[in-house]
Amino acid sequence: MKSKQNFKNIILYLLPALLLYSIFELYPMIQAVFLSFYKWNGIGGANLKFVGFNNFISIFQDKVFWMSIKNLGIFLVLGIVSVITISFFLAYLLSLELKGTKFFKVTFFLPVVLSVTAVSLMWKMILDNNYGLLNTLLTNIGLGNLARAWLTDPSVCFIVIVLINSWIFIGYYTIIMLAQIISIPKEIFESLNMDGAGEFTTIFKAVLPLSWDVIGICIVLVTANIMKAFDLVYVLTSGSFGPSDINQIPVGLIYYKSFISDQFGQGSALSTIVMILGISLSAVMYFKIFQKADNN
Amino acid sequence: MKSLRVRLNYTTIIKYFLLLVWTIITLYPLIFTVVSSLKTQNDMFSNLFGLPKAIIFDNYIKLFTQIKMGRNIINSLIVSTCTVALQMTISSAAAFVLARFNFRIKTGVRVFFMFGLLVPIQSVMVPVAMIAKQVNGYNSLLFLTVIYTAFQLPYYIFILTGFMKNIPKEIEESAVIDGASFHRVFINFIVPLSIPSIASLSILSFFSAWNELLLALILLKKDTTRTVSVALLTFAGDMFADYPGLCAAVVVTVIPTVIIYILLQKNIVQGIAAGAVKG
Repeated sequence: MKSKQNFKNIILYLLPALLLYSIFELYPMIQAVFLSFYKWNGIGGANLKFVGFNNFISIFQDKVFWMSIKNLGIFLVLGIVSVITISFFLAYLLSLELKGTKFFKVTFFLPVVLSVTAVSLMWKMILDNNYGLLNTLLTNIGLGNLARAWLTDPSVCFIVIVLINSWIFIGYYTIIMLAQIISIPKEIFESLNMDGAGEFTTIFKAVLPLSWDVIGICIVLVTANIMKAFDLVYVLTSGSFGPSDINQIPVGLIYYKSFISDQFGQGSALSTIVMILGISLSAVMYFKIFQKADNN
Repeated sequence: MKSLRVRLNYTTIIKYFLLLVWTIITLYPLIFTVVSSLKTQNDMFSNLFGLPKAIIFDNYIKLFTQIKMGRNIINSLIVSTCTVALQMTISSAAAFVLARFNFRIKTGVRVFFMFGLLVPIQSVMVPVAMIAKQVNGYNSLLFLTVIYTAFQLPYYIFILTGFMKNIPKEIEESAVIDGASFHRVFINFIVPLSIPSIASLSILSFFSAWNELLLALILLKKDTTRTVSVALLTFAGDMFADYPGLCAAVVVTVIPTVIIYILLQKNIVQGIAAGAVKG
């Protein structure tokens, strides 16, 4: 097709997407960075005062900020490890195509499509200190001493939150890894079988290395998901992010600074920090993982 | 390959056991919630694990009559369906030109969109709220729809472009030889062939919009305009002691997605697996 004639149409087809994206996503991104350098108290058109890097300094001096970073670290490590190992394991089991695999597939993926808000509320009720399912169950089977305030006890609450996030999303990554494992040629399994390799050997020497690419993609996706996880933590902590900020996370702090404490400048500064963090983490993971895959 | 003989050696049993364990971990909380929604408060607190002493639908009735959750459901429905319609139209048009044509600024445009994949929505909540203030977008379902569409664009353009690239050139070429115009090629040839991809992405887009919380929380301030996710939060605050009632609200919130999922899960799963493994 003659490209010159078509150029007008090409632009026509691209225009809605470009406009929508530029106005409502890109421009806000730039504005967020811009606002980081100002002190500003409200959307109601209050004064904008240039303060240079003061917002950033305030953020870095804020104890809650460091708490949120620490929580993010826990979230990432525990989240990635739990999701990737369990998903891989489940994907392997599903790849064996035992009877009933289809039922398992449909079931495992189910939590992924449900509203995170609804699911969080459900877990909040289950983990309730006095009337929740979990504590009542533990007490009934004689393990009452394990019962605790799962969502407010500082020693376990954030871990519980991370595990709920994993519970929701494991099915998603299981399906992705399953597609990968299924695509491994049967001949590899057959030849390993003939060489007398046991199942564990097959998994660790064949399936795992061959799936490293996809595992890498999943790690990046899990990271992106965790960086953005707001709904879950918000609902589980009833909007407070834990007694005394113990469950605070960076995106939660952005929300708090911007909409609760009216410190928009700081909120924007934190947004900028989070954006940079997100992009660098993605870049680092992308290169580390895909270098390793190339070496394989 | 399914093994025709079901060998019941102990490894198979262990594998089934593990699969069943995860099934229980996944399903039990959900089933518990559904069962609890059919109990009275007394029944639930005295009989936490059992089936309802008497099945009652009062919790559900209350949701629609007293609390008027029906309105929230309609709001969510409007926003979600409009987002899907708008999204698929705009993304497939953009993906079409990005996938099938070569022009100077193409790579730039692709990278331009990709940038949006990396940005968490929370980073831009404030500026978006500012725009909302200026265009009177608060409490506007239309504005929310537009925002949802804009933010999902990078993702769907990315996947659709990848998919459309795989359509054989011959189809386009023969259509052109037969005299098809630019628009005809798109509407009568490329789109029909992309239906599987568009279908599964439509479902995902619907779910994203239906389940979204933060923007709806910030932008929809009036009870009458709230979507289901935000309404759920309000109930959690107001009826915090009424567990069966909350269970009913949770069930009502997820039922549409569950129904769509059960009916169309093959499409959904295919879409995700294909996108990630190829992409």
